[in-house]
Amino acid sequence: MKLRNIVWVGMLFLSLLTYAQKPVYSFSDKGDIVTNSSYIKPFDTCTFKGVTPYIMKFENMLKTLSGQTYEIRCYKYNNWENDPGDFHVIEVRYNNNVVLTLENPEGWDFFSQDFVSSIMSYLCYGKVDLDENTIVLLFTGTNIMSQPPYCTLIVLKEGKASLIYNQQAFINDIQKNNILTRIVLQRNTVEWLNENTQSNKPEYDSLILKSGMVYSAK
Amino acid sequence: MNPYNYRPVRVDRYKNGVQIGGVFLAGDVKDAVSKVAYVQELLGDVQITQHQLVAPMSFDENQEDNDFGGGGDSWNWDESDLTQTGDGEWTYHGHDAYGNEQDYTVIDTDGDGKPDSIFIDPNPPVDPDPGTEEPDPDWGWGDGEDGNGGDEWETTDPDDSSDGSKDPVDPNPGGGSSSGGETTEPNKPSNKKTVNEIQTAAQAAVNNVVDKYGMENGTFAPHCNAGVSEAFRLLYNDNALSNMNANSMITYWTSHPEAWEEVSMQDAQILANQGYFVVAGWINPTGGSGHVVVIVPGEPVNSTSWDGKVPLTMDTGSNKRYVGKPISQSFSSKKKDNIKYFKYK
Repeated sequence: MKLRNIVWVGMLFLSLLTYAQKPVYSFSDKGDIVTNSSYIKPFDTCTFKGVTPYIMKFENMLKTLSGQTYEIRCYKYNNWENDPGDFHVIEVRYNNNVVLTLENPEGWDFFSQDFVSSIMSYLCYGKVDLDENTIVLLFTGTNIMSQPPYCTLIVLKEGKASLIYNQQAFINDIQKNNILTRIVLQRNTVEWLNENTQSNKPEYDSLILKSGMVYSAK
Repeated sequence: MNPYNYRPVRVDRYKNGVQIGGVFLAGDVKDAVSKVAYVQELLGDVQITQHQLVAPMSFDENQEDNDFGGGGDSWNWDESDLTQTGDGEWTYHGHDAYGNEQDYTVIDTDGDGKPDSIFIDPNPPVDPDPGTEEPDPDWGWGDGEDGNGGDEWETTDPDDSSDGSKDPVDPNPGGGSSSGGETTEPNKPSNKKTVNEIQTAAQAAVNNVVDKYGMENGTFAPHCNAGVSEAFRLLYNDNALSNMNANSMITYWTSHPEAWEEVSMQDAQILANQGYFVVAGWINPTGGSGHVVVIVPGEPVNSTSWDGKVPLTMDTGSNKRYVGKPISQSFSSKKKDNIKYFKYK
């Protein structure tokens, strides 16, 4: 009787776990990444005068575990000293060809060094090896207006780069074990009326990176 | 300027060779206090430590006859208000800019036996409750305790300014604007502070927010409402803005026009430089967290994203704990048309 109960509870737990974790993207028949627009909030498309030529803030080469090499460049707008963001353009190159360019006028901030123990950190982003051929890049948007900054994920796979996730969320923690990397997100701003009283509750979310896939989990 | 040589007093401020403000101190006694306050704003980084100021009583430095009651005089006085207290010295009984009765010392500078110049207090107090306190019989006359003998102007190196203000000039010294100019009614006490007081309170508010809330997950969590309410409390000893989130605070400012006047972004910086407590806020239409900041005194800077000059803020929002950065780093440019600015009257 006891054993049957344990099995039932275990099955229930597994089903909940399966239900709660949703893949953020899928694959086409050819094996290409197919993004899900519900996870990608578009960037604003503002045009500003005098922001070119962009200023290079960071550039480096990344290799997958199988040896494919990508070049990552991050640029800041010109004449942007009094405006938000450490950098505003992300460019991914493969074999000297630009395979992805993202532009965000609100900008991204340099990547926090508070998570170096659980994620490979560079000046502008964090990196996770998702499998032998796949890399995930994590960028954090600018903090402005007391709103959660954007959490931006790019997947590099088979010479291509795809924006798979762009949502507003504070990164509260990044945890890593032998199987997965878990990014703990807080989707809203908690306001305090005073030192002891919150006016609302935090809404948590997380991203789980494992086995060649990124999952969204409540 | 030395009160013993009785030179006419005029203060002008130039920027890149262009006059951007100026005032002739002489004129009606009732205007004297506000004129001196304006002179202090014009001087900006120049710190005034003299306790005594003398001004010839005419509207124009080219006016030949400046005597009280002389031909061509265009200022108001009543002979009964003038009491001779010594050789070439009188007491003028009038009112200050706030309507308080005040005695001023009047002197004869050109030796014709008639009064033509008046001593006025260069540091006019802002009395929140005029009439309830006895006027200081010394009204700021220098006693030498400051080492300056009370009769010399002292300037400091602009780079050594303690108030941090840069070129706080009222482009509309005569008022006339309902929001950008001097809007204080003569008999009504305003909540104006000095530039230094606002800067100090803003920095102290930031420090207090850091002390109270610390860091969370390696960053400063959003506490913009705490910063604004703390700055207000430090300046006015008033907890009216406490225990409100950002959206509620902006709603409160909007619904209390007797105390909070909505102003334009351009006027926000001018008013902050004049010593008003000025705030800005964005209500989040989704009901989520909004954002509030204090506009702090200083020189507006150019923002590419906002396409023009923008005021400076104190911001204790998400990962912000600073005083004196442009508002374009506090609010997204796409929200700039939805930001409201208020002056504490």
